[in-house]
Amino acid sequence: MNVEEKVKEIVAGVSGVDVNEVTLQSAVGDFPQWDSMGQMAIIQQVEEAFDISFEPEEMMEMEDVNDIVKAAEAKL
Amino acid sequence: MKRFEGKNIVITGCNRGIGRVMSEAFCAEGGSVIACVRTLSDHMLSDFQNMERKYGTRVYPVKMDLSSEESIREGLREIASMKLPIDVLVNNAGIEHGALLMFTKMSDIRNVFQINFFAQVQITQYIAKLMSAKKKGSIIMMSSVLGLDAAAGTTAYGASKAAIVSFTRTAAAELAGMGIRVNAIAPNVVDTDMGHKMDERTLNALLANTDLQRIAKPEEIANVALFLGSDESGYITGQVLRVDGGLR
Repeated sequence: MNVEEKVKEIVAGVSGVDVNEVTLQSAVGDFPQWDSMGQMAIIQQVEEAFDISFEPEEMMEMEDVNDIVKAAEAKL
Repeated sequence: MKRFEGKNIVITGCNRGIGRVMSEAFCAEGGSVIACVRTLSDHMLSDFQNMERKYGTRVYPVKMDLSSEESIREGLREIASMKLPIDVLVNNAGIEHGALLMFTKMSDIRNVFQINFFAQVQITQYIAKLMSAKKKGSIIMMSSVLGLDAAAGTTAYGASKAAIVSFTRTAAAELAGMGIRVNAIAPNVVDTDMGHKMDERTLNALLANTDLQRIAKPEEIANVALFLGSDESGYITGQVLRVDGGLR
């Protein structure tokens, strides 16, 4: 499973939606459960999935799925 | 077993005053301290080494100038590179500032807020992130009775400490889901160099209304930090504890 697929799966899991509803442009607030607390959960799960760690400044730049995918890929 | 055996505590402003006393108090309870200081001196390093010998714990000095966002970032990265699980953060460092509103320069307010508020937020963001990995932690903020009660001559300082009160409650609400508790201590005047810088008029007004009729010992503040940092306060979060000797 590539980074994009895994991130979409995590976003779908935390947001409680079908993975097919998640696109690269899906962003914080697009799904009711993807609020700021949901964003924290998503980032933590992405970190655990790829054994990486984001700094707070990096986290603040993540607004949509594409941002998270790019940030994760940059650390692999 | 001591309360903080095997635990790591980040404390800012460890070189003197309350921070120095807190560092020793946590070491005495078996904790290892990541001691953040603005400048490192041989005397300070020797002091930290003496603490290590006396209590058989570790004191890791980290240089961090709270007036500089970049210096804070560098210090935090150094802490992260230690790969130590962080159990407690004490945002202790701060500066005092006394002046009447009409004599308070905007640059003074910005300077006070950078150190007493913005730096604390930056450090909390980063350390909370480190704590979130183990889903447990305690963050202790240092407010002041002057952040809760009004007093002439405390425009910048009082407002910065009031901001800490609000921040404590907000951070507690947001970080609870990660198992992190956030509380603040609001001391009256403390017997430190900083405490003695308070202008006489404000100090006398405070003492006149303090039941115990004396200023606090740093140890009395450190003891509260030990309590808030430990599991003894496991069901306490979002609180501002007045340690004020009965200030009315």
